[in-house]
Amino acid sequence: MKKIVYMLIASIGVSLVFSGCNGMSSQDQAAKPKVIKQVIVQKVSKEQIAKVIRDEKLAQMNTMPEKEFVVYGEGIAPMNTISPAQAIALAKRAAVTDAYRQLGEKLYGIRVNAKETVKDAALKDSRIVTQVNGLVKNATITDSKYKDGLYTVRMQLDMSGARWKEIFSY
Amino acid sequence: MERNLLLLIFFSNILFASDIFWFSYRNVTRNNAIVYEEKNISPITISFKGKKSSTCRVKLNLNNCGSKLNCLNKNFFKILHCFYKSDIKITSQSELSTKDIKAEVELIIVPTRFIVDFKDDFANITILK
Repeated sequence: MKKIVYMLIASIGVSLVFSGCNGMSSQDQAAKPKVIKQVIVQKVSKEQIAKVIRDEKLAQMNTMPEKEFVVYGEGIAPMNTISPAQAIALAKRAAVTDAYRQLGEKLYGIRVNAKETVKDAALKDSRIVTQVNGLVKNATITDSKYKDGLYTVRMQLDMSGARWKEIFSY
Repeated sequence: MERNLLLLIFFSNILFASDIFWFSYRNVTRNNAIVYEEKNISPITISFKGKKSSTCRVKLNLNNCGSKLNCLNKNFFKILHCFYKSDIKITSQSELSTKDIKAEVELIIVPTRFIVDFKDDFANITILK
């Protein structure tokens, strides 16, 4: 029994000695000088950079889906027309103009100016001015109908995502 | 003298009987009703070699109206829809106040060149860019 106890104590002692040696060896390793990493500099021409940028741009563009803008323009016939046919024709043109305005609003945005006048702590006048300026191409009229003096036109503009991003995203 | 006169007729014929025309249109709407319209179709007096961009077919008979220009001017609103796909400039201003609403929109179809070809009671309009 005593033998077993002595053996145990001896084994613990041996293990302690070895662990102490290990600590020493790690300190020695830390004392060694660090290996300097070499940085390789590769010369790249302007054309190569342009190619990489172009490829990345193309890859990004391909992921962009087709954009579809749909608006409903409304137009009314003026009162002083000589015939119902003329009234309808004029209402249609007004509806197309309204549809184009809405497309312009969607594509280019609206400039808004507002002014409020307050007198004696009461609102006297309120004025909101909105403005749209734009150039629209390739819009198509997909549907139109005339009912109760109101002409409605459905207008659609399809555009590739890449083209949209190129022109309108800001 | 006679020769010069013939030459003059020949060149003026070339100049004014061209198949290429200008088209432009402008309208102003106030509160969604048309208040002003300006339309123009005129022949081109200088040669132009542009790319054909889009084609449109309209039912029109040249025999009823004489010259091509007359026919196009008479039926302006029949061919108008062909040009809605070309460049359109939009300017809009709306004013909303406590008393009223005033919305004014100006639409301009920028001057566009086109060729017209009359065939079998139809006019084929090709827009040039």
